Amino acid sequence: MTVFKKSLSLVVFLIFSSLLILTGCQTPQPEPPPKAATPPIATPLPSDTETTEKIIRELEGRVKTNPVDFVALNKLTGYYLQRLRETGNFSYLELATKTTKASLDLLPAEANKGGLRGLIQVEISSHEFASARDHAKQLIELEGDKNYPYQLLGDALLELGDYEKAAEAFHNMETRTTESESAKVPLEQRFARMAFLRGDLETAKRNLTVALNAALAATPPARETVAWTRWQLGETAFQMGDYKTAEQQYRDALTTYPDYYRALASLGRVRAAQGDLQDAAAQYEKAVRILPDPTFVAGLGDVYKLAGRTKEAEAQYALVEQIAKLNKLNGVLYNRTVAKFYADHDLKPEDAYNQAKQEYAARQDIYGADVLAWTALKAGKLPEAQKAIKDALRLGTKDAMLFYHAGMIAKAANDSAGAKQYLEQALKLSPQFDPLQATVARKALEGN
Amino acid sequence: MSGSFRKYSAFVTATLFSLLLLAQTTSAVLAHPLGNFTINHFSRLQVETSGVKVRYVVDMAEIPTFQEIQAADKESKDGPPTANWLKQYAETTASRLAQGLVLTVDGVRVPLQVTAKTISLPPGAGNLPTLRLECDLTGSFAGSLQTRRLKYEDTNFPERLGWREMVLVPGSGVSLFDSTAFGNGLTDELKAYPENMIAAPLNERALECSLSQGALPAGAAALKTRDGKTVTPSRDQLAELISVRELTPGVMLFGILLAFVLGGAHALSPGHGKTVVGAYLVGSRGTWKHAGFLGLTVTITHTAGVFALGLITLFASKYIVPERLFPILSFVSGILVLGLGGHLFIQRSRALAGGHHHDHHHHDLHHHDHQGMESFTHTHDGNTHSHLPPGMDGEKITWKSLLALGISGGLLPCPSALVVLLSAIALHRVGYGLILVVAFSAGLAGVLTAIGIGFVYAGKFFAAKEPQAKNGKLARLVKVMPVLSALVIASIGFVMCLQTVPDLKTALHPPTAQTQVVATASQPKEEHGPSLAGLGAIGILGLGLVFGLKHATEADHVVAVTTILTEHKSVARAAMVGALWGIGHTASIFMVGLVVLVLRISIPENVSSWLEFGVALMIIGLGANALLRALLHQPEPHVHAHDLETEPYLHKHESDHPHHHHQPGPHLHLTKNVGIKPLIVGMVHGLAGSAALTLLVLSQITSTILGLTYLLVFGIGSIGGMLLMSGLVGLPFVLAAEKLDRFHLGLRVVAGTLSIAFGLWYAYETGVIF
Repeated sequence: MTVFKKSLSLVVFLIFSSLLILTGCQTPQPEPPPKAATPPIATPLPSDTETTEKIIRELEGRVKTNPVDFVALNKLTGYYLQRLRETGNFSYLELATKTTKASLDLLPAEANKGGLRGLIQVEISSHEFASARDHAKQLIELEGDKNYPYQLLGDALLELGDYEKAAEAFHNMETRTTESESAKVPLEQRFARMAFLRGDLETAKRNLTVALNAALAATPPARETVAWTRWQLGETAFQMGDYKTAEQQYRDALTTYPDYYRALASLGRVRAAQGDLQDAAAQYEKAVRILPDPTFVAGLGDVYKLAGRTKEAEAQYALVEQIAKLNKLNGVLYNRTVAKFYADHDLKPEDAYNQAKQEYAARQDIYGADVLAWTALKAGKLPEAQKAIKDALRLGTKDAMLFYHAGMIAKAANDSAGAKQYLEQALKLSPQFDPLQATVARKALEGN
Repeated sequence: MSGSFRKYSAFVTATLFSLLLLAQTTSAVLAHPLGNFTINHFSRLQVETSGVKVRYVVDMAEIPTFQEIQAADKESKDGPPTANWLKQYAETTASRLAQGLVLTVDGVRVPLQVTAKTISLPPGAGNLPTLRLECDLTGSFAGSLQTRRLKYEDTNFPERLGWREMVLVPGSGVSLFDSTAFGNGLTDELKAYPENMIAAPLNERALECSLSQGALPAGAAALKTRDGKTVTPSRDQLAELISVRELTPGVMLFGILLAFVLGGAHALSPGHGKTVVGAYLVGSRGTWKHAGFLGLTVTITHTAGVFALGLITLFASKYIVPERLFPILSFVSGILVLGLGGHLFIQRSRALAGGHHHDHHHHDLHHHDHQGMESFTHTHDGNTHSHLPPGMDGEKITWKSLLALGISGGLLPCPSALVVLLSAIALHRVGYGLILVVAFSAGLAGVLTAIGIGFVYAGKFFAAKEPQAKNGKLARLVKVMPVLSALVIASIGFVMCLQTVPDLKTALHPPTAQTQVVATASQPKEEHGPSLAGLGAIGILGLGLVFGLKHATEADHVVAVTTILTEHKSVARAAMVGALWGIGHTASIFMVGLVVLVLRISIPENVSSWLEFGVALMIIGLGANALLRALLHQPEPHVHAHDLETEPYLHKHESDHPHHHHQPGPHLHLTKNVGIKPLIVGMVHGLAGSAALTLLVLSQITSTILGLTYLLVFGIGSIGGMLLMSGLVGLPFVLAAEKLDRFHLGLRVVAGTLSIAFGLWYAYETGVIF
């Protein structure tokens, strides 16, 4: 069945899985709030789930009575994608695929920009980045004066690893964006992403804070957008080794949106970094209950292992393998999470390498290169690992995991100076970047 | 009653569904339709006056199943779970989940007890198991005449993704209103998710509704279905009779009359042995008295059956579950019919081969003249035995076999009669309820008797003209007829038994109180209708044939064909009509099936109900046409009963219709023989029925070839079934037309009127209008 051929792992990635649809009102702000360097205090935001579900039912009713109502279909695509972001439930991606297809079957893209926009969003969510890019170009030809086609193009290019053109697209997006708080949110989020990839963590943090303030200024603020931005702020802080801030950001995200699964899993990771394995396990367990994403499950397994709960760790690892098996059965192309899991745990090196290689052939982003390098190292393909890690580091991204992988590859190549430099860089940036791998890095540095 | 005609689509679907699921295990890699992560919930609450029955189903996709197995059995994570483990798991999980189902009535928590549970591990993607746990729970509260507020919440697995569906069903004598939930489900207890629809997963975690006994209070918003239709406590007209608010003599009289009529209508619904009665009496040259006796037996048996089952339900339901009795009773009546048919077949075959049948021709005629006055005990061929007047060919109707026939017809109590009795007791209208049940049974028996009398008449006529028959073929037919009818009876009995087998299995091994392990990982995903798991392709196709045979006798088919039959006066032509209908029906089902299976297109629900509506219109049209023709005394395209050869020949009308000379010129018969009408009618029926194929696509068919072959075999069965049926149904028309023009006219008028009435009712049932 094709329904769930999309990667189960796509939910939680550092990459932009989130496309922000501006559902908030475009109310002009009389006095724009100051661009604070520190994010504002979190307050719970009212759940809009019930309203969204009600709207969805109404729109579905419209489509049922009038199957040619392409406007309702396009709107449904947007709401389904919103629910996908909120829940990680792939049923919504499947539904969005159906509505966007139905809409474009009724009316071709030339006369149906909303349908085309939905299609691109669906393609990005389904990791079909190349066709998303092509369709975004088509949309630009139709609506070149608007900002959103460039946003979609940039998102697709970013995932494909075409960073220069992505930056250009975001620049085009900016020049076409009118001055308003709500328009800032998607723009600043993308600037933050570019800054992060280029290793400018401070700028990334600043951009995200602006985005957060802008999101909070909306009436009412979109709950998931606010929570997502706070979570991203947490991720940035974690990369900088600032675990206290990271923890606070994750907790703020959870205040905004209780049981927000991305924040829960990240909270588990940061609690582990801080040494509270019991709480780390509790947070991870909760995240896994909501959504058994392989990243979460593997994280939980690592925490168990670190806590000496070997049997429970094994069970989680078995679950990851089970998910991998299902992914494979469902024809998932992008399986980097599982490939990385195998490499991290010295399992199935050939399998992991082949998966990573296959994925990198389709998209040459730096994290794809990183997984290829890491799995190539474990599979004993050192030259390929060296080549790939060079690609992964090409933007100067400051990510402890990248440095750690680079260090281990250098060590394997008997380049002890390089190994020392990279491993030190990794541990300096974020001493506990990973529950298990940080220890490995430390040992490797000692034995260097 | 109203549901029986709808069995059509459900039936075809169920069969095909199980077939496809079988195919699925061999080849397909199927992910859970709602994603590998989901835990899906279904609750159906049947609210009675002093309790609630909950059907609770949890359907876990591959990942949660894996997690559950991991969590529950950390010791041995390798290999599939054993039946013992499953049983243990079901035991503990069912009671744990029951704790998570929070039911309150007027704020007071009503604890739910698990009465039955079934666990299975239907294979999902890559044959990884998914887990399906079905629980039946009951909760009881003190009965009250006040309006009460009921709340129900499913708090199990609150964080997990999944489909959450709730359905409310009012029990007998209960009105539900001001409800947050709906009266119907979408997934057939999570067995068929609406994959082709644009519909976000249901997220029904809680419901609230008010309940009261009897009718809906003023100003209350009645329980609705998901398409906004009002749910009546049970769409059962008979049951509604008992719950009228004011019981005046007029209302009572009307109620009794209506019950009688409903009983009659019920007798016409499939499964009441009309064919058996007809076949028996035709084959055995029964008399009016036999028919009357048969009617009486049916009435008494049916009334007694309703009373007995009602009493069991009231006082002994702890020990005997009434639902489980139904399949057993069906089986018993099937066996009775089968035994009777087999017995008759042996007897009559022997008689046919015996060669002394010719002695009785005169004898037979003689008896016909005196039947009414004859004593049933008399000397015959030197032996004295107690029996009804002898039939032809030395075979006889015995009281015993007639009694067996009557019992088989009345043994299975009509559920709506049972509901009436129970509601009557609940509403303290026991006397009235009893009268209604008797009236209903009498109506049932009346119609069966009438059918019997019709056949008796036809049979007598047949026999009376037989000595004068110059055509050798007819004479031969007359001789073979009793054997054929015995065969028909036996095969109907066989089908009846066969159909009850799957239900019987569950009836004899009730899952009550203890866990029933239904399927292990290697078995098909679900048991839908008869289990096909054990059958190979040949078995499946064989079943298709049997179902096809049975399918032909659905009411809407028989009604439509009957009206066409009124135009023909030959058994062969009648059978031809049936066969043509079957061919048309098969052709369109197959065509649509081909499109659906190959292109994976489904037929939207509203289209299918319009198609059914079209069938209703067609039946009305056919009836009107037959009626008009009958009333205007128009000559029909026809052939003579003695003309069993089909070669065309010219003749004048005078020979056939001495009183009406509307069409004086000679004409060629063959051109108008049967016409394409039955073919077209069959195609329309097939088209409407093809809607049932929708689910086929929903269930992700993998074996197109097997699906198509099944459809084809099913079609052949339906051709055969209709051929037999129309031959049999056409008999009275043929025979009546032969000599008695006026009687034939009457028959045609009746058939036409009935057809119009049925068409109207059917149109109403489709729900397209009103």
